[in-house]
Amino acid sequence: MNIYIQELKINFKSSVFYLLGMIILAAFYLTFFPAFTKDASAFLKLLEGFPQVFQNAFGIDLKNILSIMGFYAFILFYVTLIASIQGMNLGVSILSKEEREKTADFLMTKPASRRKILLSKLGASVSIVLVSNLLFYLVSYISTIIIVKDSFSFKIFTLLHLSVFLVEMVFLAIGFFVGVFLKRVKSTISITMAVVFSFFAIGAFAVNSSSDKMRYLTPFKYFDTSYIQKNSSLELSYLIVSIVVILVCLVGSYIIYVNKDIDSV
Amino acid sequence: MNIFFKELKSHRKSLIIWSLALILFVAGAMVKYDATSAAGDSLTSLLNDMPKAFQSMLGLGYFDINTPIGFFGATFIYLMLLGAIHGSMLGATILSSEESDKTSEFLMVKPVTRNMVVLSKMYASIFIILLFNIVVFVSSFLIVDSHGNGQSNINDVFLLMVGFFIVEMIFFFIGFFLSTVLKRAKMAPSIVTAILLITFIMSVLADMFDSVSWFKYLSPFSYFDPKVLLGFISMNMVQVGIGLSLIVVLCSLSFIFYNKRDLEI
Repeated sequence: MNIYIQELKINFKSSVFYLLGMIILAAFYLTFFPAFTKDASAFLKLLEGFPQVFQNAFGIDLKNILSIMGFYAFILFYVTLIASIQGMNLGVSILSKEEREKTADFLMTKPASRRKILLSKLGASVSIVLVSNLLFYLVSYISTIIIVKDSFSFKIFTLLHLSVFLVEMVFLAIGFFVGVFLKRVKSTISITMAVVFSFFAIGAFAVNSSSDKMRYLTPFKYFDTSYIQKNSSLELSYLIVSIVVILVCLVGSYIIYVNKDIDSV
Repeated sequence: MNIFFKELKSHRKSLIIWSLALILFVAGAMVKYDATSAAGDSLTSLLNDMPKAFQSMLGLGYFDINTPIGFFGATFIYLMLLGAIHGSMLGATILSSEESDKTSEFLMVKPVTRNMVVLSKMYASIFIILLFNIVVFVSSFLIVDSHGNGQSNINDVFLLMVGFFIVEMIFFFIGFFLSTVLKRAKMAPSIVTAILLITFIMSVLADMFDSVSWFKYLSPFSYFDPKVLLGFISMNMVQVGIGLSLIVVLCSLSFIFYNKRDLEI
C-alpha cells in the first residue's frame, strides 16, 4: 500500500499536466466546430450533385466523417496521441526509475516481495490512467454539450472515449514491458517518444482502410472510429487483440521482473 | 576532441536503430503505394472541391498520390516528425545527461573550458544528425525510385530532405538550449516533447482553418511543409527567416547560458 500511495504522489503533478493538455486540446478543437459544420453542409450538398455511384462509394463514410461525432473522433485522434505518451511514459518509468536513480537497493531491502512491488506499481499506474480518462471524459462531455449545442449519441461518445482508454492501456502495458525488459533505461521520454510516434507514423501512412490487415500493427488503428459510428460498438476482434497484447506484456514483465538481476549501487 | 569521439561512440547504437527504423518506414510506405496507386484518379475532381479542413482530415490535398514522389511527399510529414523527435531528444539529453548521470564533476575537472564542452557536444550532434540525414536521403531516393517507372526523383527527395534537416536542427537546438537554461536539466526532454507536440498540432490546425492560419508562423513543421518544399505553395520567406534565425539565436544562447550555469551535482 505504501508503494502504491508513494507512486500516486510522485506522479500526481505530471498527470495533472497531461490531463490539462488533453482537455485544452479537445476544447480548443471543439471551438472550430461551427466553422466546420458550415463547410460540411455545403460540401454534402455539393456531393448530392455527383452520380449515385460516387455517393454510394464515399457518401456514407463522408456523412459519418463530417458529422459531430466524426469531428469529435478526429479530435480524439490527437488526444489519443497525448494519452499514449502518458501511458507509455508511466509504464517505462515506474519500475526502471528505481535502478536509474539508485533507489532499487532501498526498495529491495523493504519487507515487500518483488511480486508485491510490481503489483503496487501496476495498480498505481492503472489507477492514474483510469482516473485521468474518467475526468477527461466528464469534462469533455460537458464542454461538448456547451459548445456543440446539437444533439449527439451518448453511446458513440462513450465508446470513442473508451477506445482512447484502451489504447492508452495498451501503451501502458507495452511501456511496462519495455521498462522491465531493457537492462538500463537512460532516458524514459526518448524511448517513449520513439515508440509512440513510430506506431503513430505506421498508423498514418501504412493503414488506409478499415479492412487493412496492417491495422494489427499499430494500437492507434485498433478502434476504427467510423466503425464505432456505424455500429455503435467496438470491433470485437481488435478488442480481443488489445486485451491479449496487454496481458502478454504484463505477464511477460512479471516473469522478467521476478527473475531480473537488478543493478545495485 | 575526446568528448567529440566519446559522444559519437555512445550514440552509435541509437543512430543505427533510428536509421534502420526510418528506412523501414520509407520501405513500408512505398509498399503501400503499390497497393493504392491501382485505385485510379477518377476521384481527383471531387476531392479538389473539398474544403481544406476535410482534405487534411482525410489526409489528402496537394499531392498526386498516383506518382511515387507524390505518395512519398504525402507521407513525408510523418518522417519529418520522427526526425524532429530524433533531433530534439539528442539535443535535450547530450548536455543534460552529464548532470542526470552525475558525471558533470568528472567532466568539469578536466582541462577543457565549458565552451569547449558545449562546442564538442554540438559538433558531435551535428555530425550524428548529418549521418542520419544522409542515410535517410540515400535510402529514400533509392526506395522511391525503385517504385516508379524508371524516372529519377532524386531532386525532389533532396528538396524534401533539406527541409527535414532544417526542421531536425531547429528541434535539436530547442532541446539543446532548454537543457542549458532550465534549472533542472532533467526537465528538458519533457518540455521539448510538449513543444514538439503543440507545434505539430498547430501545423495541422493552420492547414485546416483559415482563422488560425497565423499558427503557421509558430510551427517549424509549417516552415518547411512538404507542400512548400515540393513547390505546391510558394515559400514564405518570413517563415524561413524565423526558422533559420531560431537556429542561430538558440545556438548562441546555449553557449552563454551554459557558461553561467549552476550545474546540478
